[in-house]
Amino acid sequence: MTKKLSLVLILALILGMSAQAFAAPVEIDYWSVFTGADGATMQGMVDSFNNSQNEVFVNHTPMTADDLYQKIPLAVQTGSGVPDVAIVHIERIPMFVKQEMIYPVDFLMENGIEEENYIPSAWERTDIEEEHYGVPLDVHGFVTYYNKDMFDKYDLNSFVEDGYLTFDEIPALGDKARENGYEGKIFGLTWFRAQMLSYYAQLNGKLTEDGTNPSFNNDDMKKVYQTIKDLHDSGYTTLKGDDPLQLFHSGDLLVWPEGIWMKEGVRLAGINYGMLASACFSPDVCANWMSSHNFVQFADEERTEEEDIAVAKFINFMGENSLTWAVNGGQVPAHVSINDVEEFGDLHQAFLADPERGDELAIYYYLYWGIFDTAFSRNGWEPIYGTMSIEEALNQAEQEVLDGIKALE
Amino acid sequence: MARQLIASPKNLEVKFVRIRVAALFAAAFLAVFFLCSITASLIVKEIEATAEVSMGSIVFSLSSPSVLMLPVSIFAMLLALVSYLRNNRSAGSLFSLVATLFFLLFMIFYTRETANDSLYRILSEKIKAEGIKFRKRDVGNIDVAYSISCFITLALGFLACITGMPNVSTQANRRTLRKNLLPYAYVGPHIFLFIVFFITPAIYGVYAAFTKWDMFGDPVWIGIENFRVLFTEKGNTYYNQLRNGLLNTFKFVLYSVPFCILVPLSLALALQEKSRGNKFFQAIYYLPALMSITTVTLAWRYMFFKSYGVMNNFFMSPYDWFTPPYSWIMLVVVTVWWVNGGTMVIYQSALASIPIEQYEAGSVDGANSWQKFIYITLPGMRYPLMYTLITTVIAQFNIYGQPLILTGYSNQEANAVLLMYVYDNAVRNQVAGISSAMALILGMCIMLVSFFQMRVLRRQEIH
Repeated sequence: MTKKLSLVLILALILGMSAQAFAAPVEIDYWSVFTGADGATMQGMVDSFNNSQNEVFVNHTPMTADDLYQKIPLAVQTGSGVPDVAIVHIERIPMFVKQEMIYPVDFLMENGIEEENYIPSAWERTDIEEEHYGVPLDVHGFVTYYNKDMFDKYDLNSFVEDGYLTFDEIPALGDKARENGYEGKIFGLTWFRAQMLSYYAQLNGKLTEDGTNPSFNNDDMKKVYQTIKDLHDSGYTTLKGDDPLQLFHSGDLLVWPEGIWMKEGVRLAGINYGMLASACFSPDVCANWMSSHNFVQFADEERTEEEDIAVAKFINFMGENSLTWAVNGGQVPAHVSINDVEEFGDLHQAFLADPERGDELAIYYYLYWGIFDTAFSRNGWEPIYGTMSIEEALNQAEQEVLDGIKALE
Repeated sequence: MARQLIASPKNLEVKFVRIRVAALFAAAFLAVFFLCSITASLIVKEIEATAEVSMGSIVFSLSSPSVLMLPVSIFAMLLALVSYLRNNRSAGSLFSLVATLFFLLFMIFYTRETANDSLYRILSEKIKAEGIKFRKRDVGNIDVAYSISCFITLALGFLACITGMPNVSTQANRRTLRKNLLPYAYVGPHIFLFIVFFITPAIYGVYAAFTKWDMFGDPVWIGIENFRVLFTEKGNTYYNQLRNGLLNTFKFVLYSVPFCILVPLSLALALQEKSRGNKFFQAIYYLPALMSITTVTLAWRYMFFKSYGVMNNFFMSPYDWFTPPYSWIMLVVVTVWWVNGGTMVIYQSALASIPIEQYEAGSVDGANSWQKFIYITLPGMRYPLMYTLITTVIAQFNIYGQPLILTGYSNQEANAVLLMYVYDNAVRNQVAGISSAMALILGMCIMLVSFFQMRVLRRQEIH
């Protein structure tokens, strides 16, 4: 009798274990804004997660940011095909919250996501009306590349020894380079919005004071425009029609402001480069325009608790294993554990994760970011090139934001 | 005997009355449809909110896939009404059946939409007004109940179908019915797709032009406010965008259309000579038409880039090809290069259909090549020319990719066309109401220009 009972118990145990072992994993849908090389890197990270355990399987759908922002409202509105977790840019989150398109992440926080594991400047930006809405994957921003070989050749290293390049130093750097025989361009005018917002942040500039109306049409912004215009008019910047990327890749541009994500392209072009913070008015006010890719959960009441737990597990894995994202994606992981990884300290962009330089990360918060971005970028560098006045450009951008808000509210 | 009975005046009178009654039911269906309403209710933390929502606002709420069945139903019943008024019982009955079935399907599926976003917004606002804090995931299902008028609408639909239904008691009648309905079976799938993917979005597009809409919530009807802003509010961003975008679009049409007709025509005439290698050149000329506009435009952009562009470096040219006036030349060149192939093939086929005897007769009469082209070739190609002229004008009015990639908004929006503003406002800025109004204005311009072209060309044809 005892034998039989033992046999039955062992059999039940084996069956139970087999059932556990062969239980179908919880499948979660994950949409991201990563395509191209970033998309491949992210897919690799998702594959690593899928291979590391059997309980959760992540279906990754990469698409361009424009596509994701177009598809998501339709999915949420119809309640069909809503991903369990998605990556969005941090600036988009306030509007998603206003439209009740995303859920707070408190449930994820009950399942292992911890605030203290993330860079505060990225985490705090998604605290909205006493709720928290995003878990940052990274921070990524605008920095300054310089051509090390050219700096050596023309004896320019003294300008960047302290890790900063000020606007006052740029003419001196250009003059010295030319004196020493350099014939190319000095300072690149590249992605207008990111470059200008980096400099504007150094003057404590804000896009809005009251949360609704734009406040960027002010003396600080005009100072930023005028500073760059002076450099342009004195012949220290790239000109209209120039392609700064090609110029830098060809060794015909000394200083190239660009995003940290462009470093792989520079490496492949065979350029021996160094990376600095954004060009600044002075080192003590330096700031770099930053954005952050955030994990969010779009509204979907059919999502189960099981899937939410799986999402938390996935996000934790991505945070704790984000070195690949730093090395291949060129980004700065927002999970603070990255600072303990020795290899990360050797990367060019590591200075952005330095807790002591946290103030240099300028992440803008504005409910009408989308409208602002279009309006502010519309005339781009035109006032710098002299085809329109600074006042004209700023008045037009401000009017466009005001009209856009009026058309929405 | 049977035929005599069918054709008797009494039978004709009965038939006539039945058609009129069926038409009346169809009209009543449409009238009562807009009087229908639903009662939606939601319970959150023991507080219940209910709201009565009219069918009219559901149709325009764009809130779920099942709502899309309503325009199909309305459109089908309109077709039924027209068919009945034209004494076509078979079609009238068929369309009213389709309309009723789609309404029934809507009623079934809409009830199952327990999380309808549009209804949730209405109900949650009522509950939040009580000071209760909650999220969508915390609440249960939304219950939907139909008013009696919904069931009356359904009944009217079935009555319109049954009353109008032709007599199928004899084999001859069945054969006639089959003969009458067969064409609808052929065109039915196309009509269905046409209604779902063309008519319905077009109606919603026109409707959106009269609303304030962020592409996520429900559009709010604001009448002609968007058009007032676009036409009268000087200094407003959208007022300026409409003017600049429309002006640039017209400029582009004016610059590009002549070349989009003349270049393929010249190439088709050249290839008609059947010289050696003409098939090879035909393939080469057609090749760009197979590529996407992004590929084509990027290739030209890299070739003409100021720094490192092949052309500027090869010819030592100092021009920035992406600033006016050169940017217009670039836009026309890229467009002609891209669209040339398709139009050229149409012209080749038209040229091949002109009888060779006409040219021989012309030669006998002493006509030179130019006279043959003017008096034989062009008249022989008038229909393909009319067709390509109208389709090219419409296509060029819809220009988007070329200026977006080549010039963007640079040079103070010197090459920004209207569709660029429409897309950015709607998709990037979510200002979809004004954006739809802009698109509607562009659509009206295209319609007017095409109508004018057709009138002029037809008048020339008559003369």
